[in-house]
Amino acid sequence: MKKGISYFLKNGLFTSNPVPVQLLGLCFVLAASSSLKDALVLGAASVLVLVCSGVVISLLRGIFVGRFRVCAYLVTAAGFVTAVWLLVRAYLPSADASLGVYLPLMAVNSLFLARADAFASENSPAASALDGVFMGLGYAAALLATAFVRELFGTGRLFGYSVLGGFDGIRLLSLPAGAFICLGCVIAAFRYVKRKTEEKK
Amino acid sequence: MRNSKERGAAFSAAAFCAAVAVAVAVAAAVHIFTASGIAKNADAAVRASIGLVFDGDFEYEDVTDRCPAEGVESVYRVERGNGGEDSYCVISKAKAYGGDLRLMTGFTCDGVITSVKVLSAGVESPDFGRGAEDKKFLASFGGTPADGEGVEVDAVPGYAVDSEAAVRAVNNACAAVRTLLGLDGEVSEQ
Repeated sequence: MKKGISYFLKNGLFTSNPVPVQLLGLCFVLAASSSLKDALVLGAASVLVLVCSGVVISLLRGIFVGRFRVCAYLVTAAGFVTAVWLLVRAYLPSADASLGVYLPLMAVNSLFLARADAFASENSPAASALDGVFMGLGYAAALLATAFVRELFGTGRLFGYSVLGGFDGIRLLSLPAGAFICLGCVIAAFRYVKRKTEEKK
Repeated sequence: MRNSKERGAAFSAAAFCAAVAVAVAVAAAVHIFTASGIAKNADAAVRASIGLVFDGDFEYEDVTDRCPAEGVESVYRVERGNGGEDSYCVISKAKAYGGDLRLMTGFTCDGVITSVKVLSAGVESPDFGRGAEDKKFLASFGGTPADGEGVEVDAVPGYAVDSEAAVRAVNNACAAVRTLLGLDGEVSEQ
């Protein structure tokens, strides 16, 4: 059955969003959501890696079979993560310094493995690319939503610019504990909206 | 039966090798493309941090391997553009409140501290090093010889943990410079 762009759009951003629905790659959401800039870079990197590794895994799906299948998916994703990391180091050194180890560590993001095994290994390269784009955008959207709440209410700033006058923010939200609280709230809000939308139907 | 199993295993192994080849090829191609940019950025970052403690033009050499010390990230020999004697600067760190406090400490050719600047502070006190009191605290390290009995200065009110971390980081930097200049074992009276 041929799937249109609207299917991938709805699936990636809403019905099967990797973060609030599938709970994939949460570690990176917690780590990179302290600022919108970091979230934007990690989100863009995720889209790029999902698209590229999805296309390659789909092209080689005939030979990526058997017991080494999962290892092959991980190594392929790791190759593209390394490439993205090198690009960020060369062109966005401040983002590299700010994200630190989390960018290269994305090689073990469960999202890449899950999409490779559940989708790219069974579909055409074009469909895998579309799935990568919209799953990546869904992941980035959840990451940006969490970062928006944390940066705005944790520091009173957005993209480093003060937007709440003299309000310095609630320091807890900038700390790791705040990341868990904010992510929990984002997931709860998303699921509430999703349930209400489904009830209306 | 056994042959088909062996063939399957060999095929899987070959597929894994293909994945490794793809990953290495992608990473290598991007590395060729980005290597010069990464090197340029690394050089700019080092120059910016050395520029915090030394004014004017300079050339630097990484001499970290010659003086390994606990809590020391990098040590540079700095050749000043004005023809003066070599200086040294050390990036060192110590555990602070919510993460590491990283400092850049400048030394004269004799191993006397010229200035200390904060490169990054802990998550829970990111502004340490920016206030007037903090700057006064950091300035009080100036003039201390690396071969002294360890640096001791009064803590900044409200930043007790970070102040102690700064003292430890500066002492780590002094240890590296002592090794580099061969001052180990000599303790001068300040």
